[in-house]
Amino acid sequence: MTRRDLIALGALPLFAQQKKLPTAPVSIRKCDTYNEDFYEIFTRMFDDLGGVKKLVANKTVTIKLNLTGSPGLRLQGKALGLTHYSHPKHVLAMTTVLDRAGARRIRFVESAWGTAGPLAEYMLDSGWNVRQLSTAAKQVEFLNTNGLGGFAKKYTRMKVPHGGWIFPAFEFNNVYAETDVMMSMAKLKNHDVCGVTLAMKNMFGCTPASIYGNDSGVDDPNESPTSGRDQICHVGKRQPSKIALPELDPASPRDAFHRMPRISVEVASARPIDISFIDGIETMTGGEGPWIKPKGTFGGTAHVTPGLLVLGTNPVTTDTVGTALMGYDPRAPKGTPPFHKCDNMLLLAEEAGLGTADLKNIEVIGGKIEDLRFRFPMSA
Amino acid sequence: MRPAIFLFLAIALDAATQPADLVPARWPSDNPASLAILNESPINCLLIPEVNWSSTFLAAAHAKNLTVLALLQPGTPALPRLKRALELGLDGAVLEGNFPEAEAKAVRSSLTESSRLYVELGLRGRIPLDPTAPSIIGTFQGVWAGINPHEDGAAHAAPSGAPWIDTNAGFLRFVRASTDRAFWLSAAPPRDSVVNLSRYLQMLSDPAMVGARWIISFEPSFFAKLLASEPKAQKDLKRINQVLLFFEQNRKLQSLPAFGQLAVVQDTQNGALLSGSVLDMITVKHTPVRPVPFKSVEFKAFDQAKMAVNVDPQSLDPKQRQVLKDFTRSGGTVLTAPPGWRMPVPRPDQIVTDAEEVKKLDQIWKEVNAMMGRRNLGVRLFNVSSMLSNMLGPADGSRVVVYLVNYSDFSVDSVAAHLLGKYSKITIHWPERAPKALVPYETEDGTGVDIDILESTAILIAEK
Repeated sequence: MTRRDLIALGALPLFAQQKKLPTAPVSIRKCDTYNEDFYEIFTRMFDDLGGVKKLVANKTVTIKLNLTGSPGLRLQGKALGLTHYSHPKHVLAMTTVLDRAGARRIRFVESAWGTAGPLAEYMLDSGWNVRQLSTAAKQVEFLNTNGLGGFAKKYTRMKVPHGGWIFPAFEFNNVYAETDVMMSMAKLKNHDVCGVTLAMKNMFGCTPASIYGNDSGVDDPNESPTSGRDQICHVGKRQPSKIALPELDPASPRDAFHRMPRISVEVASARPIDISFIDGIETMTGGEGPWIKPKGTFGGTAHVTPGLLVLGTNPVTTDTVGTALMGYDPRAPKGTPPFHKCDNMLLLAEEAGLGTADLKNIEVIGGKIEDLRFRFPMSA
Repeated sequence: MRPAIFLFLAIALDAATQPADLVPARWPSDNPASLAILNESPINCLLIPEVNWSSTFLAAAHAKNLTVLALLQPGTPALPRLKRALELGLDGAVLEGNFPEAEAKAVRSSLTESSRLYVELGLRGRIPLDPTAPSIIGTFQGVWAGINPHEDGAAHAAPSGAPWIDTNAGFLRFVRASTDRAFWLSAAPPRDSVVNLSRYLQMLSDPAMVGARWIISFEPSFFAKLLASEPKAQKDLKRINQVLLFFEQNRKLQSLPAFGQLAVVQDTQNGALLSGSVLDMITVKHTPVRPVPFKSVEFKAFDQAKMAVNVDPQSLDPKQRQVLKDFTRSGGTVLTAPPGWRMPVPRPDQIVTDAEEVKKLDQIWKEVNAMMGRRNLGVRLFNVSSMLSNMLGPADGSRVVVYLVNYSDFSVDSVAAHLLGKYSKITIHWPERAPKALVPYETEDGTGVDIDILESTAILIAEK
C-alpha cells in the first residue's frame, strides 16, 4: 500500500475500511476504429464477464446513453459520437447483443438537454438512424426522462442506500424503477468539475430537469424544462421542486467541486448500475463537451483516439479501470489530477460501499492497463 | 464541369442579358487577362471600380459577353463620373453606399434615358419595394453569413444551444414576399477574418436559397492567387463555380412562393428588413415561414397557414385587423403582441436588431416558440444545427422545394427531413453530385427522407 493509499483510506469512514468492498472483473479491448464488428467484440467482452445471457434474458434493460449537451454543439465540427456522445454504432450493436441474449425490452433513456420532447427526435437531431435502431430488437423504446414525458404516470423516489451526503433520495421518472437491468453507456472523458466522467457520472443525467433543473417549479415539477441543473445540483442555489426531498444540509459547501462528485455517486447508488460500458475509441479530452472553455480545469479540449473499450458489471471497478487507462491514479486524492480541483468520485463510491477502486482487487481481462494506457491531460 | 452545361449556360445567359439573369461579381482588375478567371464561371456581370475603368478591358469583357457596370461609391459628385463611364461604353452603373436621394435619382434618370442598367445598393431601410423600383434592387448592408466569432474569438454559441448563424435569409424572405425584383447583396467579411472556401460557399448560398445574389467579392489575396493561376486557388474557384452554377441552374424554382403553415405579419417599420428579427429567429428554428407584408394582408395570403404571428398589431389598419380576425374564425391561430407593444421604428441605416428591439422580441419569442412547439408546419428538419433552410411551393402542396445550406466548415451527415403530408417522389439535388431519388418512409406527420451527407447545399424536391 502506498502512502497515497493510506492518506486516501484515512479519509474514509470506519465502516468502509472494515467492510469488504464489492468487486467484479472488467473487460478491456484495444479497438482503433468504429468500423469493427461490435456485435462480435461486445459478445466476447461479455463472455469475459461470464456471459450476457444470464444478465439480461427475459429482462427489461434500460440503457442510459450519454447525449450530453445540445446536439448543436460540436467539437471541431465532428460527429457527436466521435467526441462526447455515445456512438450510434455501439448502441446499435449493443442492442443486437442484448436482444439476441433474450432481453425482453430495451429502453434507451436520457434526460435530453433543455427539452422534454421525444428522445427519438433528439437522437435524430444528433444524427442517429433511429429507424434502424428501433428495429434492432423485439421491443425498443426511446424515453426522454427529463420529465414524465407523456409515457410515465409518476416519478418514483429512489433512496440513496448509504443515506447520501447532499441528497438522501432522488425523484426519477418511473422507468428507472421499472428496470430489471440498468446499463450505463458512457464515454471515456475528462469532466470539468468531476475530473473524469465515466459510467457513474453518466447517471447524473437520469435526474429530471423538471425537478432538478434551473427552471423547475418551486412546488411542482415543470414538465417543459429548458435549462440545465447547475443552480440546484452544481452550486446549490436553490432546492429542487418540493415533490423531491431537499438537501440534507443546506449549510454544506455550495462548491460544485465538492457537490458534484458526491451527487454523481448518490445518483449511481440510488439507481444502481448493472452493466457499465465505456467507449474510448474516439473521444475528447479536457472536459465533457465542446462548451468547456480553454481556461477550464484541464486547460483546453481536444479530440483524441485512445482506441479503448471497457465493460464491467460493477460501475466502480469499471470506472477505476477506465480512469487508470486514461493515465490517472484512480486513488488520487483531491489536489492530484484528474481530481486536482474536486473530490475523487471513485473513493466516494468506495465510501458509499458501491465497489472497490483499488486496482489490486480488480481482475482486468482482455489486455493489460499498462499496455493500453492512453495519457489524458495532466496524467502522470 | 461538363462542357455541355457551360454551352447551355453561355447560350442562355447570352440570349437573355435580362437584369434578372445577371450574376454579379466585384472585379478588382483592369487587366484583360484577368478575365480568364471567368472561363468556367456563371459570373456574367462585372462591377468595376472607377480606378479600373478602361476601354481595353471593356472590349475584352464585351467580347466574352459580359455585362460591365460602373461601380460608384459616395465621394465626388456621381454624375460626372457616370458620364465618363457611359462615354467609355460601360453597360450601366451601380450606386453602392448611402448616396443623397437627389443624386441617386439623377443617376437613375440619366441611365434610364440612355437605356443602361441602374442598380442602387443603398441603405437597408431604404430598399425600394414599390412597383416603381428598378429591375435590380439591393443593399450594401448585407451581413457576412455564417457562424461568426465574437470579438473575443469565441464562437457564437451558448453552452446549451446551437451556434447562432448570421444570415441575410430572414430579411430577404420579406423582400421576396414584397417584390419580384432581382436582389443583389453586398457583404464584406468580418475584419481580420480568414475567408476560406467554405466561407465563400456559405456567403453565396445564404442569399441564393432565398432567390437573391451575393455580389461575389474575392479577397485581394485570393484574387491575386487566381491571377497567378495557383492550383489551390483554381481548385477553390472551381468549387465556387460549381455551387454558383447549381443555384443558377435551379433558379426557376425561386418563382415558387414561400411555403409553410406559419405566417409572419411584419413590415419595414417594425423590423422586417433587419437581421436578427423575428424572421431570422424562426429561420434558425428551421421552421418554414411565410412573411406577409402589410400590403398583402388579405385573406388569401393566409391560404395554407395554420398560425400567424402579428408582430406589431398597432400598425395594422382596421381592414387588415379584420383579415386576421377572419383567419382566426376560420380556425387559424394568431399570436399577437400585447396591447401597447410596439417595435421601435428602425433607423434607415440599421442592419441588426438593437438591444431594445431584442428585449421587445424576447417578450413574444417565447410565445412564438411555445406556439410552434414540435408542430410540423411544412417540414421538420433534424441534425441541422449548422444549417438553414427555405421552403417553397405552390399553395396546393402538390410539390414542395426545400433549400438546405450548410454554414459549417464540415460536411453534415445523417440529416432527416420530415415533410408534412404524403409525398411519393422525393429527389435531392446538390452541386457535387448527380440528383438522387431518396427513399421516402412514413412518419407521424407524413413523409420522411434521410440524407446521408450534405456538403455545401442541396435542394429537396418532393412531389405527391
